[in-house]
Amino acid sequence: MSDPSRARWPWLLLVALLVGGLAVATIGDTGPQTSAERARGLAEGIKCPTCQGQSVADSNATAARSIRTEITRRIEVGQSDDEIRAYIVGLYPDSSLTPPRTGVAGLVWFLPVALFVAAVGGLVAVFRSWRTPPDLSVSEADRDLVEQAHRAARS
Amino acid sequence: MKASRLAAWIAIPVLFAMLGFIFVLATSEASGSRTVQSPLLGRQAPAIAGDTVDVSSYDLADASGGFVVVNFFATWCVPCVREHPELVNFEQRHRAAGDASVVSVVYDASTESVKEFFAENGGDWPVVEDPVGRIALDYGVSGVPESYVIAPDGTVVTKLVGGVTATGLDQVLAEAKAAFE
Amino acid sequence: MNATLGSAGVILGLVSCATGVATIVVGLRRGRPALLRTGRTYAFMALGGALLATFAMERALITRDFSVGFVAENGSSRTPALFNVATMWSALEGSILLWGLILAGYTALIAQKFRDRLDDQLVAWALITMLSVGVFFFALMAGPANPFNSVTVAAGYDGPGPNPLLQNHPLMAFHPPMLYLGYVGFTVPFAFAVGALVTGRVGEGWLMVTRRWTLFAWGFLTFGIVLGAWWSYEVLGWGGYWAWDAVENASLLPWLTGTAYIHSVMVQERRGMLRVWNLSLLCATFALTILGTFLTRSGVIDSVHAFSESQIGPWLLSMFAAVVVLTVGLIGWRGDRLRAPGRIDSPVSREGAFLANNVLFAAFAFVVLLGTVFPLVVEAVSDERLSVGVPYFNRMTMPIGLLLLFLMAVAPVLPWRKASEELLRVRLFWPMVAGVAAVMATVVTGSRGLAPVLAFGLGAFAGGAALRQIVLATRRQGWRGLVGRTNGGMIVHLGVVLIAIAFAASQSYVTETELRLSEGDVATVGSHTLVYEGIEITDDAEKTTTAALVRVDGGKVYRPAIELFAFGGQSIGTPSVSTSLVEDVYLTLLEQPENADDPVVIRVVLQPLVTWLWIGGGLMAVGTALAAFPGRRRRPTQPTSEIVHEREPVGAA
Repeated sequence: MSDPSRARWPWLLLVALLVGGLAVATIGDTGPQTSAERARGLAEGIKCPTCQGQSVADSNATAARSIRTEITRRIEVGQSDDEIRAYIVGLYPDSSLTPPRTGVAGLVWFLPVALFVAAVGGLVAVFRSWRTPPDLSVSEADRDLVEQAHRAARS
Repeated sequence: MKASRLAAWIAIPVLFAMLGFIFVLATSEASGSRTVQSPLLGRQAPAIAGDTVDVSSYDLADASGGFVVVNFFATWCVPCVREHPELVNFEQRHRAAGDASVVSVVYDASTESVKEFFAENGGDWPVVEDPVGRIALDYGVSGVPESYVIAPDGTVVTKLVGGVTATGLDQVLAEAKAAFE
Repeated sequence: MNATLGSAGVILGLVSCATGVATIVVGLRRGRPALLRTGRTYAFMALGGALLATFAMERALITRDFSVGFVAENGSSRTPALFNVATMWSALEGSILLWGLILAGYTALIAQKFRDRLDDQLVAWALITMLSVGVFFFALMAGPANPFNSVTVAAGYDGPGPNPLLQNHPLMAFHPPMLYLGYVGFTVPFAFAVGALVTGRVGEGWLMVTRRWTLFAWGFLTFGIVLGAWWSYEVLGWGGYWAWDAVENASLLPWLTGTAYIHSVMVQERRGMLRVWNLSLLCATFALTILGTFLTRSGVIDSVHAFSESQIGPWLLSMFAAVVVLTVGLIGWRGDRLRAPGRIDSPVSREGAFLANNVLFAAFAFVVLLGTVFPLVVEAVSDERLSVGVPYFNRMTMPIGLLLLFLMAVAPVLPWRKASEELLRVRLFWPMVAGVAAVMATVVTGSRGLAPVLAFGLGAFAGGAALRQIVLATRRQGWRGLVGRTNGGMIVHLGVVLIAIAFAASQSYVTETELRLSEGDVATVGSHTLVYEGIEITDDAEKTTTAALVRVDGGKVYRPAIELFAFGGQSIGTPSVSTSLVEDVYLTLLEQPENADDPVVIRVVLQPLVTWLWIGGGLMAVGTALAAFPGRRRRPTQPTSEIVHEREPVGAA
């Protein structure tokens, strides 16, 4: 291995570059900008009413296409994403592919996170318990045995 | 190491959770047999206005007095072909009685094929074109055929998914009339 | 004739499996090794039955024998030869037959491989398990999913042929058999896991003997899933390849638990720990293959790929229930006896990384399972109706995927037991340089958004780590540095990295537009120029194809088309893709013009790096094959009956 990998300063430099790069990527991310990007984002979140389990973005069925056209029209009129979503969900009640975060439906978001946290917590607890060394206290009988062995070896 | 019962204690709740899950799966209906409650019921019917296939125009707002059956159909859909004679039967009787009319909305089919369809299967009520699917979208149509019964005051009374029959429509109409008066 | 032959095959399979199970059980009860050894005969008889049934089915399909119910419903004289063979797995009954054939094949191979050890209790129980699963699938074919029911059709009858979507692309001939080889292959390690649980055999012997079988099944499943995604991309016409659809999820679930297993099993081999967990993972993987089959075959969940509604739902659900009750019961009963008293010295070690890997894969599988079945559960408890789709899955799995990429970078350089900070600094230096360079390069070239840029950086980090391992191994061992589980595994990792990067890029930087073009119109989409050069209509016996001729970037002409099938009048769109290593231009014809000079509506989807998904998939398959080769440090396979003392002295670190 070459020398730089053993020193600390190249790592500091790498981390600094990384943080910088990620910061630029995050700050520069202004979300969906063009109306086409917004339309695609919306269409991906709505279930196509005539298809089996496809989103409006994924289907070329008539209903999906007319919903896409309607989304584009409403974006051009200047409606917000929430307004458009509410309009379509009003027409097709269970068409939102993003489950709500409240009520029973909220469990779909909450359960995996809770179980993950529990699993990690459980592992941390296990590691803690492992770190305390097992009971290795030595009894008098053990010492005697060792003592005897030593004597035997010396003689 | 003392005898631990950890695996057993984990297995029991897992087993119960899985049994509950299996119960849910066992009692789920097949997705195809679920009916849709239209949010439109009791509300003002969305507008239907536009060119018809025989190059005149139609506007639901101008429909005078009676109940209107709005039928979304396509020429390529088999149940649509099957229900058509029933619609013809219903329309002729009620046109004579003057209490209900029928309007069809084209769902993804070409003008030519629609003309052929009506020439072959009969019926001469207005057939409205819906080239970008705007009307179907406003009604929340999720497949053809679908029919809506609209009261004289312009509110949606019933949504019917799948093929209709003349007697079925008569019954829906009679109930709607009773409720309306 | 074919119907009789096929039914005979099914009955032979059913009877052989059932008799085999009964004989081995009696043999175990009475302690008669001679009876146990007959298991091999029954396994081969079952295979004979399955082969006979498959032969009869293929013969009926090729000779268009419409007196066989399945052929009357799914075959046709217009189907081209390749798809004629593939018609067998284009509908429910035939796909169950394929399943039965592959299962019988695996069972016979196991019986052959272990022919000298059939009187070993563990092997006997494994064979009982495999034959019992065989009983189930042959019973399906004899009962609710019978492909060989005789029908009488009028003279001159011609069947509808398979679903048009399924006879559109040669991939359809290969994707299902690959997927099934993987799906069904997990029955083998599952059977041995059941054997280990029933006999309470502590040793790692069973695990060593099934290691390569598991790898084999995993490799085929991986390849099958990638082929399925590729098929969706080439055929379905929406420009995507993965939609978190129920059927896709059903194939992904066993892959996730299987992947967790092939990692954590290394901890067991090396340290003798995680025994019960590994057994549970195998049982879960098998149960998930049955659950997935239920979800996609019973009609409870909507999906483009689902087979039509059928009567086998309750059967499959009962099978799933039986598997769950038996395995959870066995683990609860035997688990504590099997547990090993090992401990992990430090979380920053190879075994710690594998543990983290397992937590993440388990979480991934849980998210996918929950999202798939959640609408059913909610509807059952609260009458509320909701849908769970792409936005949910993407948001929930994205952090898990990124963490897995990070682990993929760090884990290969970690030593067992304990790692020092300096060691990590040295070993991770060049991978880290690659990762940071990738972040800088993508940011400088204009990529934005934390998730995709992080994915590129972590991908390069993980790729760097895998490459470092491969370079070191080949320097040390020459070409042998490419084979064996560890080295092959690194090549698989490279494939995963390619897929992860391609996935992130194509999901994050997709552009799409709908164009209305008259003949001669030129359109610019992104950096590409499209020229519409008119319509082309071709007629053949089966379908009328209306293709729009679109010249992309002044080069080749692409033909997105709408195909109108003569039989049943179904029309489907066929996309056409201009592929390159950098970006795909995906064209779909949306509206068929009524007259030849009317404008056409074409949907254009631009997605970067899509091709690397398929390259990555190929690399994963190659890596798996290399991993299956015996590496340098190959341990002799221990006989299953030997008790292995792998316990290491406390504090040996």
